[in-house]
Amino acid sequence: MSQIIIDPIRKPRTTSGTVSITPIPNKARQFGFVPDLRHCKAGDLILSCSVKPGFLEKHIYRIQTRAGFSAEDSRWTHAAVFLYEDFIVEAVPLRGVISRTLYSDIPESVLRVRRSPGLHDNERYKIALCAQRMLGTRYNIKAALSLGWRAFLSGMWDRAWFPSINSVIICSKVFYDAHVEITRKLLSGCPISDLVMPAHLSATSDLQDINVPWVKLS
Amino acid sequence: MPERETRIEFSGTVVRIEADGFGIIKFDHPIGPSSNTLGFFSSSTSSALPFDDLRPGAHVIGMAEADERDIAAIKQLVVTSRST
Repeated sequence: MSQIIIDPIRKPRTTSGTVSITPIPNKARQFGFVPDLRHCKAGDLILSCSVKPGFLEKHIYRIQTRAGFSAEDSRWTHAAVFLYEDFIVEAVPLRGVISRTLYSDIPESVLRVRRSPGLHDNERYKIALCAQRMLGTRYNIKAALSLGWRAFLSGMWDRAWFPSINSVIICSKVFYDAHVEITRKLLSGCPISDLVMPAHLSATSDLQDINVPWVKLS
Repeated sequence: MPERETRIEFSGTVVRIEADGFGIIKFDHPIGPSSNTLGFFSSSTSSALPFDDLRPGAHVIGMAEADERDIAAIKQLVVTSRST
């Protein structure tokens, strides 16, 4: 199934209108278009990858393809959770857990919005809040290592990359766990005892892609 | 709220536990109306859990609420043997 993505590489030809947003990051303003985030809901999964992937992202891509994922699913190297308006929450290497505007990804990242269908709005907000709570607690490398990850990771990851890749793992797994805790539904294809990677969340058929059109900035 | 939720005894093995207290248990035998093989616990669904003794591989018994959904919610548990 083809993915519905927000791709700034191809300058948007069609938009759903014109909006005035203030403040907005300079790069996004210079680009002239932003995704119409009114189509997003709390608890939505935001997958992303850089338009020009760096060394770390290429490394994550290789790990995911080596784990058996298609190139289309392996391209996603970061996961975040949508909160409200234009805010997302995520774990970022060295900076820890942060909330920021999703507009700051424009035009340097390709985005994909995925959603669990059939949930009430209050469940979506609970997923967002649950993920925010879990991220705040889990972004602690000492805690992660003490839970036995060190032994597991040594066989799968290059340890030198662990601090950076840790945030990728934590974001993906937190979305999965928050979804399980609030909905008590498992996402097909995602491991329960293993590391959940962005590619798992890309490949699962239990999340639906959301079409988020571009809007022109006035 | 699901209509057929029932509280059922279980035994199983801790598959994983996270720093915030979220964890997953694999049941020794399926439980509940939809034969759940997995249950989860967290600080928000279970009032008093022996977090200090919970480790992946630990064997536990307890009570869980199960319904037609994929995974049961652990309400109480006791560690019967720690992981080796």
